[in-house]
Amino acid sequence: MQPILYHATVLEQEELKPAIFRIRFMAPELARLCQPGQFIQVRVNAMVDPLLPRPISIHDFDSEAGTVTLLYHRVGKGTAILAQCQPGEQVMIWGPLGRGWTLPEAQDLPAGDLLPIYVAGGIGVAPLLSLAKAWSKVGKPGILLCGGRCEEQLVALEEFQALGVDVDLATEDGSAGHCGRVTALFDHLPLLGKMPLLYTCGPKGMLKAIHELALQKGWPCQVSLEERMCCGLGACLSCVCKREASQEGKTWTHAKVCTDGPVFWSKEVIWDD
Amino acid sequence: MTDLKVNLGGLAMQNPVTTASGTFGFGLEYAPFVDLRRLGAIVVKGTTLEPREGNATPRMAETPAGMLNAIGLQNPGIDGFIKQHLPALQPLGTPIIVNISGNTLEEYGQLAAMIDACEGISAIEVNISCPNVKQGGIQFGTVPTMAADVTKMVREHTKKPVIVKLSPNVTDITEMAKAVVDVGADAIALINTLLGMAIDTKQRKPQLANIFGGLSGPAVKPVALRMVYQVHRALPAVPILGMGGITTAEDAIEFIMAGATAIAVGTANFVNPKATIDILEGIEAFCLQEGINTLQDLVGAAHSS
Repeated sequence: MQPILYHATVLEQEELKPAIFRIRFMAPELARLCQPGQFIQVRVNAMVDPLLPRPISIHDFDSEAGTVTLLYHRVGKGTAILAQCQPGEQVMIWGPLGRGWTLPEAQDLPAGDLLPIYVAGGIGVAPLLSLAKAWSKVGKPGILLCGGRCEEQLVALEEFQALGVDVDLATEDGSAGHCGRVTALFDHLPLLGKMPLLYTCGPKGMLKAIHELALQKGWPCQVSLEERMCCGLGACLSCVCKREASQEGKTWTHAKVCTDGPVFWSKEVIWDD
Repeated sequence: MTDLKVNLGGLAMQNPVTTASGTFGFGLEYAPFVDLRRLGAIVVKGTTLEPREGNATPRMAETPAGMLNAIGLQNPGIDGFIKQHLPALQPLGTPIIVNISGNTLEEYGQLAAMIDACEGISAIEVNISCPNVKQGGIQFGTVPTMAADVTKMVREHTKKPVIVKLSPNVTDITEMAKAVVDVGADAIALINTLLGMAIDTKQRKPQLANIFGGLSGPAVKPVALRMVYQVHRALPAVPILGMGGITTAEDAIEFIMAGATAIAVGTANFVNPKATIDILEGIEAFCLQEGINTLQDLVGAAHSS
């Protein structure tokens, strides 16, 4: 599927929690191409500083309404400019880019009754909503385990609940849900004999912990990785991760997070640092 | 309609717009946004004799009006390029320029011979100036006699146009240019990136895993333009492939007026994936507006006054 470049009109922009924003664009041709787990490049202004576009996960898309929605954290110069964008303004975006989550209809999933479990760390919840929609459509809305430092980092929960997803929370300061890390929520999971299928996005330390848990339990697990990205098209080789390989004389190669990912099976990734 | 055709040291191009090695992958990555047949040439990612995995991450850091990179020449090797990537580029009909890097003089010779034997490749860009690899690389690019040795080795192994890409990290760029032209370079490409660094103040450590990286983007444009001007003044008969922060058609025309026969779009591809075409169309519009019949007439125009 070929990505397209778009001067998209901002429909709405809202600060959901301090420094966490949701922005919705009108971009019908782009919305029709989106798959859960993909991202777009957003050029926040026409100037040369900041220079590079911001790669941001697609939170939601609606091919009928022609809209694409992003969730983002205002962390630096680029996202601060994006946060100033008002409805009616145009922003240059291109995508959809990357390979997203393995969806319910995919053939390579294990047989049996599957239970999708989405594990999010903070803003990592963003690419999981459209995935939950896809699972909800086949009657398996699944479970969201959402963690963060505090309650103010947890967003979009009601959107998951509206799909019938069971939501369980963990915060490090105890301001919402379990006091501690999101991994602790696995202790009381109602599996009911189903085979969990983990999908996770968040800080690297969390992804590694979820991967190790999945490995230990024998559950399949996909991770959405984040790396400093530049072109987003697989051309510049800025955003790479170590992936297991079985070519002659090699145990690993550098995979491109932007085009080989951002979603990988966690057991393919080499988690050595 | 302006005649945009140029000749870069024996390489005939339909227009002066090409891509800077490393910023355009193997070309097809940009096919969704760019009609690759419209480009004057495509310069592909730096290629070595053996496949390389490159440096650790982070490999990139954004800086004011620019960026630092330290990719470390990750590439599938010359064989991998010829087998896996070149066949898909052939039907385009756009000249393909392969950028080569070696650890030793012998490797440069072997690479040149392999490319010479490969019909689908139109010219060689010799990278004697990669700042991001430990061996060879930068040294070949900063000592005139070593730059000449590499060029001579490549020249002895190919009849195809040889474009030598110079490092700006030298005291006198004209000295480097003369050294490589004397031993058979057909054209000079300048500039490669400027060696730089950035520090993460919260973590108290360099932003790049490689510590140092190459600076590119609009921030380097005045430096690049000055070097193109200097080399053209010193060697007016030698064609130059000018690059360094070219983001708009206006930038490209400045380089042409400073003495560049062709120009390469690099970091701008990241900022706007159709930058090459926007720049090409902007050059056409400028020529039309200024009543220029032959683009070649503009090359070095800033020197005559």
